[in-house]
Amino acid sequence: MFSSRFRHGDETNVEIDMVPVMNMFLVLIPFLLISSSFLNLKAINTSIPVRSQSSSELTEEQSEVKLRLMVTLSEESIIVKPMSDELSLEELEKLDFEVAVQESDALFTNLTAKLSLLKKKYPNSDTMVLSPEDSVPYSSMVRVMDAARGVDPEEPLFAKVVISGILK
Amino acid sequence: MSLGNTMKGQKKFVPPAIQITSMMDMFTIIVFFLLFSYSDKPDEFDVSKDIELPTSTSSINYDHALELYLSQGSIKLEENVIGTIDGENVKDLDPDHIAKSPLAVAFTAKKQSLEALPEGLEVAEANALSDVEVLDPSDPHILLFCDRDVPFRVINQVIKAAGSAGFTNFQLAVMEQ
Repeated sequence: MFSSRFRHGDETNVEIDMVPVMNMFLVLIPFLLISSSFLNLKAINTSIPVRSQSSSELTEEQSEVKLRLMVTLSEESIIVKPMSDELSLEELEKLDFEVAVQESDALFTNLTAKLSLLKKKYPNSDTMVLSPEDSVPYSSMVRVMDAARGVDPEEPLFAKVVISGILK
Repeated sequence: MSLGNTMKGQKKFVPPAIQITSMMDMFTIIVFFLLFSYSDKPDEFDVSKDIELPTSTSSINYDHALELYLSQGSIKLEENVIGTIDGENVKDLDPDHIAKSPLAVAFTAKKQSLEALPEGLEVAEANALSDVEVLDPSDPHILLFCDRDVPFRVINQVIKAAGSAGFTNFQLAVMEQ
């Protein structure tokens, strides 16, 4: 029988030498500890308004319709007013919209949806001028920037953010 | 009496069998955990406990830049405290004359020290010679660590002071969501 043939065989107790593996682990762990990052830090690129060349100096390539979103952020609402040198005031006024601020994420889903429609219509647009009111906390500014960037990191909606105070 | 006779009566030394299986299990878990948190940019910032960064969906990595820490009570540029915040205002800062404020002066001094590279020395060469990474003066930007509850009024005053010194580009440090 197959089973009886092995029943009386030599039973050698083989022990794997784990000491080299332990040594390897002891070298690996300090190395990984040093090069570990427990602070998952990312960044959002922004700038402040600076003087630039006038629109008459723009080249032919830059003359396609390009919107600049003027976003006024208060504790109650987000007002979006697109600006462009190529569109008339009437055309621009039709693109204005306002979103009421709520605590839920629905606000930002709503904002992203409206901004993606604008982006679809004017694909060359990429700049947002964010003007928060004085009392608005930093975290709300970051949430609006996130919403303006959209959900696809490969194709952001309005990734260039300029932070500016409200012009009075 | 020979040595052989002395040893004859003693039992053969048997090394104690240490049970290392559980230790191996523990090390394996630690190694996997550390492998997943491996980063080519290990933590190099000392963010104080009074700064709670907001979370964001941004996936952009930060660059090496001038570090500015903005908490509810103080403003720190790299290691130095350059201003204090009193309620919703930066202390000793006149909003109408920001460029002359002590805050703007501190930013200007920092900018000048960045530009003071030894003549003919490129940034890459200076980095090779120095232990501390040298910032590129042609692209000065600030990495802003700001507490999530700081109001825009304070942020605006600080970025205006930085702007008056020539720092117009900022990276806002956020926690990955």
